[in-house]
Amino acid sequence: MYAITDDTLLWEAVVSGDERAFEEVYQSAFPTLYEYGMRFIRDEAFVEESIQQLFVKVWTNKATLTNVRRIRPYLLFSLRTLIYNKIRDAKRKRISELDADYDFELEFSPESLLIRKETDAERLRSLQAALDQLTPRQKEIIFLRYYQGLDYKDITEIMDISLKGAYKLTARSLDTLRGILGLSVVAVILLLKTHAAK
Amino acid sequence: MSEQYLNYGKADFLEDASFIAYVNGTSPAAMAFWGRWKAGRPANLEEMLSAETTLKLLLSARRISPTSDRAGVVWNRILGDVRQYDLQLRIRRRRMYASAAAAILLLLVATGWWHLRTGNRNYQTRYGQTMALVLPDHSQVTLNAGSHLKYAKVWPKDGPREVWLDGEAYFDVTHLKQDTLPLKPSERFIVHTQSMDVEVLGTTFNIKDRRGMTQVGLYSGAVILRSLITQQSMQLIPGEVASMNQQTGQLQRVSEDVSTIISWKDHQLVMNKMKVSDIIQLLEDNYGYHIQVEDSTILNKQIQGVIPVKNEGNILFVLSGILQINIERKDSLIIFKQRN
Repeated sequence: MYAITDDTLLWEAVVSGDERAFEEVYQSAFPTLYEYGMRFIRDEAFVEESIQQLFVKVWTNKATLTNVRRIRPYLLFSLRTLIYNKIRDAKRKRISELDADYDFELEFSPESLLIRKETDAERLRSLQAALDQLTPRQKEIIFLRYYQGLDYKDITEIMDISLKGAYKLTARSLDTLRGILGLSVVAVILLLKTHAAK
Repeated sequence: MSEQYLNYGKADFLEDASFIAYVNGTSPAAMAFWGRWKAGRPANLEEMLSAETTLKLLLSARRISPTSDRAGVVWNRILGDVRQYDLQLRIRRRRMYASAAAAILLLLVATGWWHLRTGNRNYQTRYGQTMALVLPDHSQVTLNAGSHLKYAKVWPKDGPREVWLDGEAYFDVTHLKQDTLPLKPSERFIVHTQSMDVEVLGTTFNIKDRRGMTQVGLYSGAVILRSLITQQSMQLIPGEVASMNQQTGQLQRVSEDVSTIISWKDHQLVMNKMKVSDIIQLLEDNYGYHIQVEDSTILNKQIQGVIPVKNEGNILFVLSGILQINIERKDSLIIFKQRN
């Protein structure tokens, strides 16, 4: 997030055909991409093949990828699109909306948390019940936001949703999320608008 | 920096990158900072702790990590694909260069073909060599030694037939005129020399353009001579010979025998009281010799007779006999020496 310059230099090296820079990009991104892919489809061979195809595509198209500014969000977006296309092709049918037909695994386990008070334990149980109601998309947002530390602008780009769409998605889920996260509707909308204005 | 956090509610903490990094445990700096912040017991500590619990819950999902060998395994597959791609790219580039080369070759061939259609034909005889040619209209030309003839590869359908001569040639021109109508352009046949045009109507004739003199001998048919210097014209009848000095451009009939003039065509040198100086000129023109004469009195001797010239050694042998001289030859230099 703060290493924009490093990203730019590293990516320039990849674009110019530097194999060591290419491996550096791969090695630092592999665990994240692996986890992200596995959360879509719990099939290691499938996910690894997707990551392989992604990087081969990056190498063969490197001459046209000069406008990549931040590597991590770009790779996440590309892997997501690739997996989506593979699933669609495998099912031999057209899916207009990915979330109509995809899963995103994110199971919360509050029992691992250190409980300070009994009231907390009670609250956690109700929170988990609410969290279990989250849609795959909402889970994906949480994963990208909190597990990967990405901002909302990155998330809208990765998930290929417009800010308007993100707002709609957020608004729909806000009743759930607000209760769990304590996020206010106004806070989320302001946040999205701030990003849109950039 | 800490000031702003005093106004934070739970939602604000949940949107703060530094706070997320702290709960995540990904940034030692953030962990140190928030540790100190909590120890300061701020008024909104409860909001912060509530946010922390929520975030911990959100982050409580079991992480999915590849076993330690997976990154290397997948990388080797990627490297294999990438190396193969680079190899194929090099082969494709090589093929591309090959097809570019093929395209250039095709262009050259096309250009060559175009050149073939539009260019000129050039014929040059070496010394001692004559050449029989058939023109596109089936007219026949015999080109004498050391001469050059040029004409267009493709003759225009509605223009005159034209050839350019430097040297000496004998023409037997195909008569295209089959009617009594006025002459059409395509029926004309013109021989251009440097200083004279000879226009022809179905004719056999000899042109010699050498040493500043242009000489035309008509064997049959009709020709019109046109001096390019004086614009003077002259029509010849069969058997007539005309010559022109290329300095003055003046055309005049001369009393030469046409059959003697064209005898070269039959590989004969017909000498009808021919002066030795003329024979020497002829040998120089047709065989590229340089001839030196020790005794200049022989130059005015006249010779009568026929020498077969198919073999150039023949001529020199015959001449040495007639003139009673010794002939020395060093490459193209020939010296006529007196016998002692």
